[in-house]
Amino acid sequence: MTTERQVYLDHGATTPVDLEVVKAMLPYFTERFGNASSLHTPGTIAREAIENARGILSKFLNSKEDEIIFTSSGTESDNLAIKGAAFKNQDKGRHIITSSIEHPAVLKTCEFLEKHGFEVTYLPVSRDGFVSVDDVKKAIRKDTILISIMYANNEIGTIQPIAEIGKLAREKGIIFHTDAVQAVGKLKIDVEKDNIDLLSLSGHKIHGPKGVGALYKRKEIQLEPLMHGGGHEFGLRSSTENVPGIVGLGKAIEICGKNMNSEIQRMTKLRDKLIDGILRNIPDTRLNGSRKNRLPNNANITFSHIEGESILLSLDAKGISVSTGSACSSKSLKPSHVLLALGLKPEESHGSIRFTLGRFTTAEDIDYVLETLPEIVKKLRDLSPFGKK
Amino acid sequence: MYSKKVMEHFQNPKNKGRLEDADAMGKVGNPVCGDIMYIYIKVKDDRIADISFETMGCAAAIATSSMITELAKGKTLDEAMKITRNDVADALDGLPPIKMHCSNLAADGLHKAIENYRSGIKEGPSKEDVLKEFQKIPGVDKKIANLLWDAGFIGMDEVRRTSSIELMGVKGLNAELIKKIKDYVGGSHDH
Repeated sequence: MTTERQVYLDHGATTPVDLEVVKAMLPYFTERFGNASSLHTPGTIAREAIENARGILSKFLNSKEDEIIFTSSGTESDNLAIKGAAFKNQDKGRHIITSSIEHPAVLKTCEFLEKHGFEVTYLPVSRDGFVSVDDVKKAIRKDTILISIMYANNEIGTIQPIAEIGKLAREKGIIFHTDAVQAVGKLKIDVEKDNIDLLSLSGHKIHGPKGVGALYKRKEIQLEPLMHGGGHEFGLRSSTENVPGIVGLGKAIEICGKNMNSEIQRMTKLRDKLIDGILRNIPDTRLNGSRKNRLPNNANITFSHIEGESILLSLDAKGISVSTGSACSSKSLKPSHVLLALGLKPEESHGSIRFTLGRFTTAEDIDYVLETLPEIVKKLRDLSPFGKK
Repeated sequence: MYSKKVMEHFQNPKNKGRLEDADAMGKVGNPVCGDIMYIYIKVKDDRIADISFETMGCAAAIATSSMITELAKGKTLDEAMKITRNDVADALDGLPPIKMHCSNLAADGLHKAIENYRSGIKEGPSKEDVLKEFQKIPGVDKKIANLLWDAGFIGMDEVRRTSSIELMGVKGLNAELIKKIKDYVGGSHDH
């Protein structure tokens, strides 16, 4: 089903690759194809490209160059950070603190560690989606070795008090990891100021390519590698480097850094236009997550009395791509763990839609959504047994 | 993901809305999955003279509701009782496997409407009756019964159809209580 107009508002899922990024990557598939471990000229060219990208990332995060490890994805970075830190430091203790609204890449990794003798505390969040620093403080034990709290939530966009949690962890000598996959490019991140020890990021959420991510690792932090082999990436991630991907990630980060302040302002304005437009024009709607301290590109709305997948598919028929708060439309029928953690009832979480904006989203796109949405919601509410006056 | 036929019925559902002079209705649902259906029937000479639906749910739930109204219209009550979930899915050129369990409730809704008609009940049981029914489950007091009702469980069948994992989504239920509930009502412990 296609209509003339296409409005993609699912940048939290993935983003189109910026053409500048594609252009930067292309030579590394063909004429600059070398293996970065080789000593000859083609190898050296590939090595230089990787180190150049590493430089860009470290400058962007305010880290040192040898604190960036390239991986295949945000998920891999989370796994390397959490399992790596847990296994390497298990002599000091086996307790981990995380939150109940983490991405599955963190939650499932923690569940895996629970099966291997680690204990995990899953902190609750407030009704508007924040972890409390006080709760973190109270959860800390003598044997706590790792705290992992996401920078910003992927479903509801709430930005966590990372600098404060980082400071607390640093004082107590506990390793602090943050999954910043959704935050990178939309917030100013400074690993020094935020007291971050480990930070995960991903290429394809920031108009870079899929299949590449990175982990920032403070120099002093010791990790057990997941991949054993040729000793690439400081011995922490063996595998011949994905040179085109790494070059693309570097370029994507460079572009983010260039225009970040104006981009944040532009997206915030569009986001607020979308949120206000929906809440004002469609009755029985509610914003999930806080209005303040929210990612500039995220709106998550509950539409009472109807179900998310049917909204998603109706919007899709009009050329608008969004995602459901619940994963009902894809593999799982369970309501969203994030929305349930906010205290929403299952049926409320089923009626939730996430809109995530990107670099190429325009005011006209938002206008189109605001024109299209009320009719769809009305049609579905007419079918529903609930919410009738 | 969905067949063309499912999308057609989802986008242009047949026989939608409340049937004002219905003789009976059947309510079914799986609130944790997000699907609730009301099927209304009007009976004349032991045949389904008119039928309609109201559904909150995913595309599969809406399409199966629409399809059941088409399949049942004009049938005798006995014939209509024989329409199965699979008949509905087949008529829609199939459903994704995960939706077969959760959203394919329309046949159950129709059967319930017919049973209600035959028992002379116009609607489903009242809230008080359902709360009393829930409280027969060991460990379920009035408060928990109300939680279940508030979460959208309109009868024991709905609890039976909901897996333990899905019940975890209901605020106020813990694993121990869910096990007691599932032991009592039976049905699926898991998908």
